[in-house]
Amino acid sequence: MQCFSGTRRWALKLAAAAFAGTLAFAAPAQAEKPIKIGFSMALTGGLAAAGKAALIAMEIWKDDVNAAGGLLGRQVEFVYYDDQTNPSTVPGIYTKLLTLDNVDLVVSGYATNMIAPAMPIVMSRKMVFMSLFGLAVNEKFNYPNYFQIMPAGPNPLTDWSKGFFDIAAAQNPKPTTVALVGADAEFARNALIGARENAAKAGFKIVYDKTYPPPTADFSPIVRAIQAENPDVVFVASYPPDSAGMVRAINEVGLKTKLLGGGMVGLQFAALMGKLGPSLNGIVNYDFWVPEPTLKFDGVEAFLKKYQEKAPAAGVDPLGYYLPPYAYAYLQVLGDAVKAVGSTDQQKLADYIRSHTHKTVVGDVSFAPNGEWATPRALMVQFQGINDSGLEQFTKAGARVVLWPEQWKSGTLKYPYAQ
Amino acid sequence: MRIGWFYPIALLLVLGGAFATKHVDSNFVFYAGYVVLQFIVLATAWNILGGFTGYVNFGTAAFFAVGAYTTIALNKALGLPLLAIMPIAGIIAGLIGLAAGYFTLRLKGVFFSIATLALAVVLETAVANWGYVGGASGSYVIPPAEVPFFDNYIEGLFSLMLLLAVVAVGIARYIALSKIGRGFAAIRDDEVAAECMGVPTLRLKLIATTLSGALMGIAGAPYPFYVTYVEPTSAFSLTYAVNSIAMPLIGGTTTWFGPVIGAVLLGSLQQWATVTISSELNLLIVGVTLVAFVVLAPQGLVGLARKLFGRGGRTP
Amino acid sequence: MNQPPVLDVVGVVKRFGGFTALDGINLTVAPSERLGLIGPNGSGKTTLISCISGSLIADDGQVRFQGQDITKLTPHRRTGLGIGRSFQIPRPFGSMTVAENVAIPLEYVGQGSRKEIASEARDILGLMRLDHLADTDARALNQIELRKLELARAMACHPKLLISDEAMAGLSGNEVDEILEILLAVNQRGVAIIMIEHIMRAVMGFSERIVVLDAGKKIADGAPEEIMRNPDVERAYLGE
Repeated sequence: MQCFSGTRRWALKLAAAAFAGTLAFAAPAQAEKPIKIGFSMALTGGLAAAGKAALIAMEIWKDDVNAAGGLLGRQVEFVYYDDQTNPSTVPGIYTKLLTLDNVDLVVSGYATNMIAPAMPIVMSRKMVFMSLFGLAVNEKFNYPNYFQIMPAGPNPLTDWSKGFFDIAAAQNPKPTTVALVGADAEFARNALIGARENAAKAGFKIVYDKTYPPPTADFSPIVRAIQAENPDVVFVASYPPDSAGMVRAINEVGLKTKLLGGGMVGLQFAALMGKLGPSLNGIVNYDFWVPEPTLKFDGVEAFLKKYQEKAPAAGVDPLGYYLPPYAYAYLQVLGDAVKAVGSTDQQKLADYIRSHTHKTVVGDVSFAPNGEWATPRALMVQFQGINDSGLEQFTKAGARVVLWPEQWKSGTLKYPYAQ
Repeated sequence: MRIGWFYPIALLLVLGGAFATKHVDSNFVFYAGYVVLQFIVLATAWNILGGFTGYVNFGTAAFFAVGAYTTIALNKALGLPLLAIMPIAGIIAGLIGLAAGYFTLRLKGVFFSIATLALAVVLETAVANWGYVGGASGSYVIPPAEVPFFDNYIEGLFSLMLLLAVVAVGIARYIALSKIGRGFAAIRDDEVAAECMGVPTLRLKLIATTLSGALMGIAGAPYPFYVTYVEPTSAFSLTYAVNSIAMPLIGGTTTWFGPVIGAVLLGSLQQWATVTISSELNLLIVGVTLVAFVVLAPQGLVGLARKLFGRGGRTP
Repeated sequence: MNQPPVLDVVGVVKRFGGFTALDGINLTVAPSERLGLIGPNGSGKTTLISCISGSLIADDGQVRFQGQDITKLTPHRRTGLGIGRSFQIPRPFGSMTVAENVAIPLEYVGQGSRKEIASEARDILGLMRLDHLADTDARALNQIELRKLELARAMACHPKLLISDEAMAGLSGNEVDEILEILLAVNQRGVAIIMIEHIMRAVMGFSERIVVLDAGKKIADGAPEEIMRNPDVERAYLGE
């Protein structure tokens, strides 16, 4: 430094100070510009219970991410609107998010009829689109940047019931006859289509195959009609109110069969589990996540603890095992992709998500080309040892034992079915 | 019938709206505007039977959904373009209105209203069980990527609904100022007296139900393109019935412009609330507005204006 | 005058469930005749005129108007043929002005341009002495004005037969006279009138012939003086 004259040294110091000064002013301004994630969510209307639970999970994710420094050094903000469980609001909402609110990223609302209306809008702007529990939405669109977080698998119709019939076929002696019963409505009819296929493939004889109209209240006649055929296996595809009615009728009539359950929606919800209690014992049904030792993925217990603290005040499912972990996970996939790619470039994010396996609170997630899970992970669980004591027992291992897929098995099947 | 001011202004509105789409940046206005215009049509259609003639229809959703599902069925079966489907949707919905009227209008008015409720339920069940249009699982209609003249499909839909709104209001105005309209008013005021004064009440009532149903069906025909995915529960939603009754009530049921005022006010309020307040408060606000109007201005805004400024003579 | 009757009621029967309101009524009205129709409450007067005007359809028997069988026709068809009626309790079109009320039948029963209809409406209102109220809302009228509007509307049907259903009930003496004058003036124009009234001096003074009903049957049919002296009539009104 002997070669520099006094003035030059002074000028250099001034320049350095100025440069440092501009950094000091510029850097915070850039770091403060938040990353905005936009979406619609059902906060009122028929899907509000699920939508509000999902939103709680999503905000826990946001808080976790922001506490750890945000994404790309920027804090995450949500811009969301209540879609009122009214599909007509969705195109307008996503258009506003993308053209007026200028969000950086979008994710979907909850359920098929709230997700589908957004598709043309996100597709026209080539946005990467994480989707929360829509059934086969991408079949018509074939949009490559669509990713579904529900673990149903690439063939949702058959995948729902595959596990159930695999379990049945594995018993010794192998059962021979199957009864299929379900609500005469969307999901149930599709599940029954898959069930018929799986039953045929496994070599079972179908001795009863009927649907009931959705507003059925008394299921005893149906249960008796099923009993009359003496089936070894009974597969039920039902919605929450029917599921409850069916379980009660089965216990009242005293249905004698060897394997019972399959596609009963609602038995995953705390409210129904608490109400039905011991009458659930022995039923083998689908689920997406249960608190068994084989499913304790990174972060899921911490997440559930935070969720269960907030749930009672919001009046949503107090246990939160069904949907909330997946609402956390679909943001996890997106957020981790942003960090890995280093930007919010939509195509780069989509390519990254498609080509990688993601570690989330619901396990390792990788996607098939159509945006569904590459490997289905609809679990088959059996209710065991349930008593009248309330919800606490469902938070412990052993209440719902995972039987299928083999990879996640956490206990043994109690067979044949007995009440 | 003198040409007057209405038709030139109507033409200006439609052309102006269509050209405006090219100059507005954000499509959000068109998505929100489409819904408001759709409700102008539904409120005006409802009012032809409800306000003019005095027969309350609770089944707006039935006729609206008939229009939507006609589009789905014909789009799937024959690939017909929307403009060709709309008149067919109107004819089918009109025939359903005619049938509903034919079987119930000989009885007291309350039976007709109950029948319209039942009609909505029956049609929803029928559609939910009709696999061809997707049944309960719903049906997808992919909006076209390219639309002639407009930059995208939503500008086209918006302009189409604007045209439809102007036509529907024009029809309502024509009726209000015509012999048929005076006959409707007589039926509404006192049906027994009207019949004895030579008004063919059954025939006029059937005209009203047919026309009202047809317009509602035409309003529903573009809906699948707007929302992409149609399933029975939301297509037959009660909001259509509630709004198509509330909007004329707010604006005024005895004139052709009352429903327009109500639809613009309530419809815009709902669209605004969705993307601002956007919470349970949204529904509360809309509900409170409704109650306030019914209590404070039972004849609607038009009636209120008349009271404040004196009865200004015949409607324009 | 030996012209065919303008109205011919033959053996008309009307039942309501097990109750027989009209038990075979026979009645004729000559063109331009003034007929009074009286009887105690519940005797079937309103039922009879309903079967004539079409508000009710007779279960048995025939109603012929100017030679044509109208037994099963709808009311508006009968109105179109020339039967007009006023209602006992006035039924104005509440959202319209007085002139608009009268214009409805003028437009639906008659023909003519809007101008011609407006002009004729004023003529009729002049006859009824309602022309000063032509542009008033019908809702704002008092009782006698409403009664006169009923008659004005019935006149606007261009009737050959006008049924006046207790148009004078509850009115003051002067008002009764006013209505009587109007009905006479209408009759001068060649309109047959059936008048139902309980005000005896009005019926007696106005009618050329009186028909008496009791418990669904016709018990007397003749000139006012005969009816006054008829013991059956006295019994019907005063009991045994």
